Amino acid sequence: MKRTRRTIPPLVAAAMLLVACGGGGETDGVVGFYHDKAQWEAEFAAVSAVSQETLGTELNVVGYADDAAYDSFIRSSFLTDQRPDLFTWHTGGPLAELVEEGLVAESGHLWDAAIADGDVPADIRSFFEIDGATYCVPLLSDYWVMYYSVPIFDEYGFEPPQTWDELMRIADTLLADGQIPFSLPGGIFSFVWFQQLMLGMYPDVYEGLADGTANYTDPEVVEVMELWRELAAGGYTIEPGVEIGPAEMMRDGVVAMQPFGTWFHGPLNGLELTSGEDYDVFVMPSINPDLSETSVVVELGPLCQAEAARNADAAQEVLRWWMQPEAQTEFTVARNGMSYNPNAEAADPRLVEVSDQIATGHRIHNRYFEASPPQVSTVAMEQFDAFMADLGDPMDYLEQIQRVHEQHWSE
Amino acid sequence: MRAPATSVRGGRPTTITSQATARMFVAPAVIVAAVLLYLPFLWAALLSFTEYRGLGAPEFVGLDNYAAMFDDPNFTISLRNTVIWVLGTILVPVALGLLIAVLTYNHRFGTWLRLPFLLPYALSGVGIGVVFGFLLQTHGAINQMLDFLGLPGAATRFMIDAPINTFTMIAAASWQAVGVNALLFVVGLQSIPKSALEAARMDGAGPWQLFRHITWPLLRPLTTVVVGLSIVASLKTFDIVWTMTEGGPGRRSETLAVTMYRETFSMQRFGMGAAIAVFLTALTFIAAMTYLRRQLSERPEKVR
Repeated sequence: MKRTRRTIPPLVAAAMLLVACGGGGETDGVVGFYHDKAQWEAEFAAVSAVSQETLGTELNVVGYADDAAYDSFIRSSFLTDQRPDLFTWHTGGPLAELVEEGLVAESGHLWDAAIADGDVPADIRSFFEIDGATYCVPLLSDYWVMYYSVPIFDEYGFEPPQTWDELMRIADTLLADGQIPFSLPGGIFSFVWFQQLMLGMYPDVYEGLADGTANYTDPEVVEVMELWRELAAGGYTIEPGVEIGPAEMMRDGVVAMQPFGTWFHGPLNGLELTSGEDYDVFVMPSINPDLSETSVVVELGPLCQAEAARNADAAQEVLRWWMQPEAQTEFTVARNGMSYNPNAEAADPRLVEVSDQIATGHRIHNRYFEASPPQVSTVAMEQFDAFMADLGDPMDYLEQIQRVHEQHWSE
Repeated sequence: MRAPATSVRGGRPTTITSQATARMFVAPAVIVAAVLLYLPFLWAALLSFTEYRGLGAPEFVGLDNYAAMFDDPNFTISLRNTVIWVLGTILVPVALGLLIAVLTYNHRFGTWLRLPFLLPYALSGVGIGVVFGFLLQTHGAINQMLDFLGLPGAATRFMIDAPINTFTMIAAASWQAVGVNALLFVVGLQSIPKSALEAARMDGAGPWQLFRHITWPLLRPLTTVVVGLSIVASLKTFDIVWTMTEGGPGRRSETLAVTMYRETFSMQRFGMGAAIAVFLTALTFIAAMTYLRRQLSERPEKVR
């Protein structure tokens, strides 16, 4: 009796802890779907409703608004038996890191079927391949284009430029009239101008930086940074530290042009702006006229299945379905974006035109954030941010990036 | 009136069994404390000797993280900013708090005069960061106001240029902290015996002499507490920096707490983040102990 009394309190404590640690997890017919795109909570819910009808599978959609919190959550979930059935991630370095640990399920057979059905262009598969195997499916695909304010362009009688010289003539006219031509994205988007200018001048070096065959201190990179500095110092871009949202900048005509992914349609439409009336897009022309193709960035957000996920079969069915016209149309229309699936409908015919235009005579690249190893891109984005703030000698910043770049590729 | 309870022992004699039972009842609390407080701290300390990106198993690297930390120019900047925060927090909100307390104490409308200073204390640090970040952005309301009034600084990039951005954030944090410091000093002033002040006044002491020789020495125990709390609070500065500049541009305005967060969660370098956490803990402990030891071991200045 006494023995029993002595053991009760620790047992109760242990039981409480176990209860606290347990729980959660998905039940049958419900697939966990984790994402870091909290702005699309309603859009994912709409897709979940359709998946329940078509597949009999409900998506338990859990969104994160903070990248760092999401990243840590996904990583730590792999330490538990509560692996996410499905989760959004990034291609390139971040995906390779998970694959190296054997945490992501292969999806090659899903791609084979989707490509055979004409649901996915075969050329984007390479972004999802690591050491010969394919992982995840594209959640979405967005091209990086130049958004422009239609009212401002109309006021000056501008047409979307076909060459870099035309673009700069537009910028010069605006600048002379006191209108700031371009935005200057900072923070997590501090790579944007670097990416756009690199691709406009030296797309091969851009690829070389991504795979370690080029250096950040190469003269081509320095030249790109010098051009960036010239644009910023010349007042072509808005000053750093202005805390106006990009969509609001477009609405209020703070800047005339903003380089962004086509997902920018979402926030713009959220402010009741209309594509073609209030804003429109053009493909940013090459800076170097000798380039035979114009380089365009494609942003491919992967939707991945955890290896040994609890609801592996149902999760795989969702992945298969996700690439098909039904899911793609639902998601694309809900978020006012474009789809990689040519059989899906798009919310905005302008985006279909742009994607048809890019389909021929353009060279596709992965976005800088995904193309570079995470260790390098993190430092690079800090340095770009600092560079924009003080527009100092480009070499000072590039040397800092080069240090981690060298360190990474020597390992 | 009831007689005070006598110290007669309870009916049951203390035995080994009942002591063991008592320990059992304490056990849940001890276990919870161990699991929630001691274990995470030990785990973080252990992690600081490993390389770990949140996947797979941590790899033991000895003191590499610490060596890399002291070698990293970003850490030096962060340490410098943290020292500026400590000095700034002692100089501005503590000194201003004392000034407000002394000037308003015994004033007819003292409470009303102090009240506005106390109101910001009701706001969260994050809220203050967001509001001041908005006001102080490039070409923001503060720049426009300075320009309108023809005052210098209209072109200052408060959030962009270092170390101005750190000074700016200290000013924003002070806006919140001044009031509560003033309140604490008023409590201190109330504890000073009137007789001492009156005696000094009768001896012909002016206001400055009163403050210098009576008020200040007698306020000392409270000053020690206020300054001690300020040191600890400023060493762990995070919320206001994160909301106003996120430590940027680049990493120019980071404090040690922000660097710790960025290394751990943005860069997924858990080992390095843990090393900074251990360093920050040691720094806080040493700073607090050194300060308190010095203050409490010295005899209070004699009231002259």
